[in-house]
Amino acid sequence: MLIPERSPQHVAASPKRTASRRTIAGGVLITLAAGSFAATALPAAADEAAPLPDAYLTSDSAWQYSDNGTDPSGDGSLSWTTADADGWAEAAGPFGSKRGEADLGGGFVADTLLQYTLEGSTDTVPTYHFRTDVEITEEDLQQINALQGSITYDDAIRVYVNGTLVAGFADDRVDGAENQNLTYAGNSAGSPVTSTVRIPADALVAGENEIAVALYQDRETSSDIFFDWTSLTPVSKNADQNAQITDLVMGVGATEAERNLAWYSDIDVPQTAQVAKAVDVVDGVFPDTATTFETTAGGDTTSGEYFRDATLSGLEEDTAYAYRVGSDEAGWSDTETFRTQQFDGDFDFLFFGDPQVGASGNLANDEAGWIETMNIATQTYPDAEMLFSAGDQVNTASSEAEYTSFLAPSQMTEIPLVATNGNHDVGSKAYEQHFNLPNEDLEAGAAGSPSASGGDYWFIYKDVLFINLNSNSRDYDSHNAFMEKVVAEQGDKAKWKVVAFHHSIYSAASHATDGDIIERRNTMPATISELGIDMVLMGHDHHYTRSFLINGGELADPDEQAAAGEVVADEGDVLYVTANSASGSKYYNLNTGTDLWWSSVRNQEKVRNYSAIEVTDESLTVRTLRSEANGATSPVNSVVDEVVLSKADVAQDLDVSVDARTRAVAGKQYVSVSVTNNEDAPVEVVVDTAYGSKSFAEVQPGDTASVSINSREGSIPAGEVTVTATGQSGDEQATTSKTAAYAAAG
Amino acid sequence: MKKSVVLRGSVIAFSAALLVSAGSAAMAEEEKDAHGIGVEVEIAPLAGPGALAMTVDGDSTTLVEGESTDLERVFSGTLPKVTVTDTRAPEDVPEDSFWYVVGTASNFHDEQKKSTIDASSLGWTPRLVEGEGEGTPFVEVGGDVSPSEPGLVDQELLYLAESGEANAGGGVFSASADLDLVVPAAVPAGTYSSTITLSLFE
Repeated sequence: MLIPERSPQHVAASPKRTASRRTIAGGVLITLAAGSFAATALPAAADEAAPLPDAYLTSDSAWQYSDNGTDPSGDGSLSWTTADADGWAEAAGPFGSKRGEADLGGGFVADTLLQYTLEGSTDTVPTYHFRTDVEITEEDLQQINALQGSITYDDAIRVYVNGTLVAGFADDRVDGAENQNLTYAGNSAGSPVTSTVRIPADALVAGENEIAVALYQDRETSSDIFFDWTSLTPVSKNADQNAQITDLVMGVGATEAERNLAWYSDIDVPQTAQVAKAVDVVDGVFPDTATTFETTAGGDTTSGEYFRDATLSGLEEDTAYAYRVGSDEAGWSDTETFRTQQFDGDFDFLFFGDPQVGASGNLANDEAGWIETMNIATQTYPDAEMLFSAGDQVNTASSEAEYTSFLAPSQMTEIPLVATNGNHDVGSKAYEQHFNLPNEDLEAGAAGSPSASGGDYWFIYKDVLFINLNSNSRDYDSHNAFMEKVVAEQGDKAKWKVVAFHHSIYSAASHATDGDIIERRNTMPATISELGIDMVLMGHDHHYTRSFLINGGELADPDEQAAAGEVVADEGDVLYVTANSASGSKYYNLNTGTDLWWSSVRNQEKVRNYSAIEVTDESLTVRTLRSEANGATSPVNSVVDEVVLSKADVAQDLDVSVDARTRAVAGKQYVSVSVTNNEDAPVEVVVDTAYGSKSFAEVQPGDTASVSINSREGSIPAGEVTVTATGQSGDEQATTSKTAAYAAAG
Repeated sequence: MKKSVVLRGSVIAFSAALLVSAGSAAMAEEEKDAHGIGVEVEIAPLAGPGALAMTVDGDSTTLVEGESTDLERVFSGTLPKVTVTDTRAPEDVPEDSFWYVVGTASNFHDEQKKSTIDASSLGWTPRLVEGEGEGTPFVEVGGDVSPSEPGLVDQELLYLAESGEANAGGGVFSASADLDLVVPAAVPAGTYSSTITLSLFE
């Protein structure tokens, strides 16, 4: 029989390597010699349940494996998952190869080198096969709900237990393969990634359980292959069913009064989010007055865990809050805190270029650089209200280790994050499982592949309408339709309009001349100018560039001086900003062979940057600073560039706010409309409804004109009112029309 | 003369009736004297401290001819100022309630009671009064009611206010209205009068 590792006092006497049948005998002998297992082996001891083993598999467990590119079943069937693995080699992991070498970089080193290419070919071996057995006693099986394993792999993997498929990662292509035992699969990910596999007790039998693993290479030319089953541990029925909550991140909400939370848990149990004013939470105890928010989404993750989304809404301004996620039954996350600020007026937010943690090959370094930039930025701008990432949060879309590093800064649970979808964030659903995006339209900017992640989304923060595009999709019609719809419906509610997407169209380093970037540059600016977008925030090219003002893809003003400290935008003029790396994981050299006519300021010192963006009624100021010194002359927080963007004094829309609702008076439904004049001068107001109109000759600044118009009906359908305001804006007479909707009544 | 009604408790209406006179165009020059015909007004006890009350600044008004055409004759005038005063203690104001003043007109009859002009021929354009509710978010003016579309035949809103905010906001709010009468040119000459009944509800 197989004796797996037991509780610590026994481990010393047990061999660590326990998996294959041939090592079992040795295990028994040694164990018996130590004597400590004698009691547990006796039936008499069954009254008192023996402690469950610590682990059934570790990295050191032995596997039988086939790495020569043959079909072990011979007929494409799954018979190999339960047949004797006669003639296969046997060794312990990690298994791997990078073009025939054991060191894959990034800390991944194979103990057992796998055959890299097929015999007599330069093509890689498509599929590798592994087998081992796990012995579970009847007694132990009765005590467990499941076995939980952790597997690190590259590129794709499938796990079978006793002939049944129990887990698959990045394995979409296997189903369509001619021979599932000899096929390529994966998502062209970079470094190996780690996933969790859960084997339910009903997939297990008392005695010997046959574990089979198919490991897939991504393509004929893929450089590396890796497999390391690092742990397989019992999940006891008696153990507390405590959820391990990880990856908690506070995202921006639909407005400044909301926060969108997302988190992961290791078990699939009901959870909620709870929020209370911080003063009411004493020693981590939430008061009865805490508000509970149900989850708005949830499900399996690509890494074998479970994700949950929840939105904290109805927040009050200028208030400190505490929150947690989880449940009374399965336990709560740590208590996190955040504070809201004034819901109107000026504000700052922080803008970060491609963190792309893991890109340097040294994840720990990238994480440290990212944390350092985040700390410097938030210490320098302690009132910053948003953390805006230009995309490529991680280097490998499916890498949970990289997500852990990206989410490591403590600010991630305190200040709302805006995650942009970069090219390194697709190829896995992990992006949309990790981030809870407001007003997301999965149809707009949705890439076609099944592993595409996310679409376009928007939100309003104070006086800025933000539109975030998934520029991985080059379906420009769908992006344009999305922007047009959002601007038409929301544009009047904000003074500024800021668009963000990952793939900079006006950058000045290596990507500036990529074919796909040129295509975006030729296509996207027209609509952005037409819609009156003020500024576009971008990344992708790992250096800093600020554009001249651009209108419809051309210089707005050929006389604009390079590096001008202040730029004044006429209608349709747009400032494009490309951020440098915030983590220091990767930099691109400036492009020297191209006419970079759009670039007013460009910088590449290969030190970490961040930008502070100050929003006021009059201007947007983009100040880009070093979060890493470049010699004594350029210390931390020295300024790389600063530009103040304001709007030319054109006839603006009159600032009037409109509210419509219904009320019943004397048995009839009335449509009530309130119009507030936020201008400095009186305005004339005309209110039109389906049931009549009303004129106000002069609504004074700050005043509200309200009218209730009789429908003369007992019940009315939902409808819309139109308000036309006329008055002085600057030196000119302006007329502005606005609509407001009301619900059906009666 | 100031007529006053008081509203005690909620959902009880008190009304003031107001005489509206219209002269015929043939005698337009003679219309300068207002017809001081008495009007019936229900008068509750005068408002003491702690009441929601309505007063009307006069009990009659006169319409004078304006820009008539060969087809129709047009008369206009002004509704005397209507004021609602809320002197209740804040805790006596019902929560989430609003008070409102509605008006409706009776048919016009000539002095001999021989000819009638339908009430639907009279319309109004309510407006709030500067310093007594105009421009205030919680006071809403009624929509315009044009003659014949449908005219002041049923109760129409003059103005309303959110009770709690109005009580806290000083408690004195007033409205008036421009009155318009449009009749066919064929209507017999005469001096006609109608009564507009104003009611305050909460």
